Amino acid sequence: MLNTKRRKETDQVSSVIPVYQSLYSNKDHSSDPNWLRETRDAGMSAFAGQGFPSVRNEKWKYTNLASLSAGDFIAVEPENDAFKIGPKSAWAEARMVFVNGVYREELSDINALKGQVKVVRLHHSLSTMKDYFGFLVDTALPTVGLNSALMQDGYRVVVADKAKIDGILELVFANSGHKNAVFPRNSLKLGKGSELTLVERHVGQGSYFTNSVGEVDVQDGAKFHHYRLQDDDISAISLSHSFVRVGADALYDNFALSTGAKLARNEISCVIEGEGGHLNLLGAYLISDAADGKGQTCDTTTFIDHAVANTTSKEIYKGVLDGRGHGVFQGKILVREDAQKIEGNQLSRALMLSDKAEINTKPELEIYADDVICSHGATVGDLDEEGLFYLRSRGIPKTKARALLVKSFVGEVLEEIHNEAIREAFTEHASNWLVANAEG
Amino acid sequence: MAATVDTVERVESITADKYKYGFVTDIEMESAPIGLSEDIVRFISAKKEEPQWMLDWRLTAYRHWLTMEEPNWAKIGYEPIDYQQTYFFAAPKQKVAPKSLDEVDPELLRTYEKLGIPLKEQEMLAGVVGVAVDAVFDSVSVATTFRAKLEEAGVIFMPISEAIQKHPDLVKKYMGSVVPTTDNYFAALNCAVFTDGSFVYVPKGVHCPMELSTYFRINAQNTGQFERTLIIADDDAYVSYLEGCTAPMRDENQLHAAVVELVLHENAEIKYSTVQNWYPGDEEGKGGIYNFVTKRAKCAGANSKVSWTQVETGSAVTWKYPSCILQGDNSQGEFYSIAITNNMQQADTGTKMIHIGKNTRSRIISKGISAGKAQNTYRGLVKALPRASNARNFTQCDSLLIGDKCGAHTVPYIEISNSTARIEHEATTSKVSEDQLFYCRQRGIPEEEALALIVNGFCKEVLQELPMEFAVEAQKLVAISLEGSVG
Repeated sequence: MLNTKRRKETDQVSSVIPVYQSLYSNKDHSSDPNWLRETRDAGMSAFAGQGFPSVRNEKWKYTNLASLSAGDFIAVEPENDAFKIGPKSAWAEARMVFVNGVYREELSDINALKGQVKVVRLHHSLSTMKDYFGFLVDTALPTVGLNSALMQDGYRVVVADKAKIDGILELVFANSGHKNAVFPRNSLKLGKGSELTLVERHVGQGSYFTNSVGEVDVQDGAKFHHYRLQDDDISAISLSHSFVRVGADALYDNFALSTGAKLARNEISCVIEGEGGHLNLLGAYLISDAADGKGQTCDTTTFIDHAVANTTSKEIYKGVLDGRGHGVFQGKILVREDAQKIEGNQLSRALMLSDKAEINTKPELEIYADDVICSHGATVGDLDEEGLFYLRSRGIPKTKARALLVKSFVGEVLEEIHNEAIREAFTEHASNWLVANAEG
Repeated sequence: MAATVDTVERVESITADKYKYGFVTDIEMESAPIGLSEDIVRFISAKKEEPQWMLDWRLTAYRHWLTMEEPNWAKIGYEPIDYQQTYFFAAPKQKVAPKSLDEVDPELLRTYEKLGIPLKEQEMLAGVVGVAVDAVFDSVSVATTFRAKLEEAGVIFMPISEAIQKHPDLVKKYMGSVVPTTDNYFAALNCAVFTDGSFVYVPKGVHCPMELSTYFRINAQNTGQFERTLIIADDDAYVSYLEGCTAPMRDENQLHAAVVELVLHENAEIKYSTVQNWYPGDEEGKGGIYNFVTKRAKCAGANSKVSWTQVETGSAVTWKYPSCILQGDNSQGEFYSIAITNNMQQADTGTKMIHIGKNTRSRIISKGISAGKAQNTYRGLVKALPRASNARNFTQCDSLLIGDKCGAHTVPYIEISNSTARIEHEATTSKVSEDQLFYCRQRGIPEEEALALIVNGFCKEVLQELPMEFAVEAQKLVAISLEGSVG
């Protein structure tokens, strides 16, 4: 019985492989330099060897990619963009827009940052990136391998040493269409002592599949504030994997707010390689029912590698689960041998607003050095009855009181956003979600 | 203060005998041929004069085991076990079953004496201490005391091999009901080849008049020890069960795969305590016991309560997750654990709390201490099913690192499908603070002793859960296990 089920699952997973293989072989890569073709080939064979990971893969234990394994997603060249892209956000100094994975110059505006920072589409610089392309990325992972094989465009941002960029760079990834698969690839390098604030917005319309991979190199003394708003269509599948390297006395400050997608996974793998390096991995997710009536799945998977001594990390994720929402948090902290004087703190909290919601949490500490202070905390619960009673005793109606409590629950982590304008924008986005969902 | 004095004495004595239970008793063995096959399973069953149904059960388990793969997800590494180079049955030669301690092989009695459990003395002190010992030497129970007193209360306490003969209905009904033959690789192996263990049945409304205890001992070379323990607490019953073990010093690794099943009916309570100090191998990691244990309790009835307390200081490899299935409404599960690893020891241990019924509660307190080059992992699961309204869990797992070559890892899984469940999980990892050590040393306490003091303090929450008889021994063990880890 069990064996039959497993066999069926395996068949499903393997049936999708030829679909992507033929997609890959039908593409013309003749203009790619040799090293790039080799990278693509390696990625394709990594994917072909495994297919999409199944729930028996420990790293994907709680997030089921069976709907992808059905194999009906096809990477197509974008033909139209039915989805409307509004003007640049008020807080943004410059922006790049990618529609269905391809850069759109007429929608973008990068002039304001010209001269301060190199902002280009990856498509143009790919062939010249031999020495620093993919050096942080683990192409052996099937989803990452697939991206390496089929990537076509994305952003490449290079900040020169000591350049402090005040203006915020906005990146919009808009997708549309049905069963459309896109593979954005982004690359970012912050030179020594530089600083940058960047916001990614992921929006769309339709049941597309986006599988993006990013590479972030924060060199010694640099500060990078990386914000991500994932507001994909609730029938879409949105996978993202960022690989981050943090140098000495450098800061990587990440905040991810997720409300969209039928199935979303935001995976961040970081290695702190220089003493004095610090990491902030923060975020909130608010999810409910997906377009098909089943629950949205939002998976946050992080890996922090304290490779050297005197490094610190802070991690806070908060989730609000309504309807059939399914939250997943997997956070691993590794402290290597001889990496002394480490401080690593992690907190994951989930608020369950519905009986149909589900949360799976797996915080993990792997520690090989003794002079460390590491902790993790995880809580799961519904709204605090006493808090609710307090508010109601002051004449606040029940729905309003609930809304206030939920708002303050999420507000706690939103307050950690360093940039004021972004903090406001993200808070507004979260409030809108609460009005539309939890208060209904 | 008593604890401090104890620790001081202990530290003084350990220089003399590092592992005082490391000796070998020379007794003629009646062993099965080496290796594992259906014939061996039949041999064991025949040796035990078991009924056909028991043999069939074993064979089912064995055939299933053949289709399984040895699990490799735990954070432990060991030389592959060659099941064809392991003896699965060894019994001390005895012509007639002993009726009293006088009939027991004096060699055996001396062994126990060295272990610190003189049966005669215990029998004499029966009225005072009230501890019954069902002592297991290798695979066969050789002496059972206080049975009469227990029988008076209606409590059945006997070797499981005897229970199979005398209470087949109870055994048939409950054995495998918590850990089925197909459960996991090591449990399936145990089902096929278990040789003995304890059986306890506490009838309705009976509060077991004494703490039940069993000392297991692995003796014969290359003998896998496969105990099977089954404890049933009927409605409103209570029993406290103690398990303690030591093993002689050996160079070759010894395999141990036990299964413990606890069944709790309405309002029943079982308290299960373990002190495990088997031979951990030498400083280079040579020798030592491989300990793969499946322990599980099923709170079948409403308002039942189970509590696992363990002090794990021995074994080269420990793979053990005492679990609670909280099926009855309002049932409670508790897990208190101290796991100490030193030198080359590896431990991957924790618990599973499965909340199925309404208003179920669980509490997990785990203290892991890692020293030398040891690896210590807490791995636990808290799961609340959709029907488990108002489930509550509190988990605290703290790890202490002593030295910069060891590792401490925490892998908790939290899976919640009910919005009224409330789950709290805390975990910390740190080293013994310099301040604490300095404070002690400043007051003239030697470093090693200071460490034992601090570690005992770190473990206090768990130590106080142990029955008195064990608490003292456990405190000494904490100190002895950490010997040599500072300076």
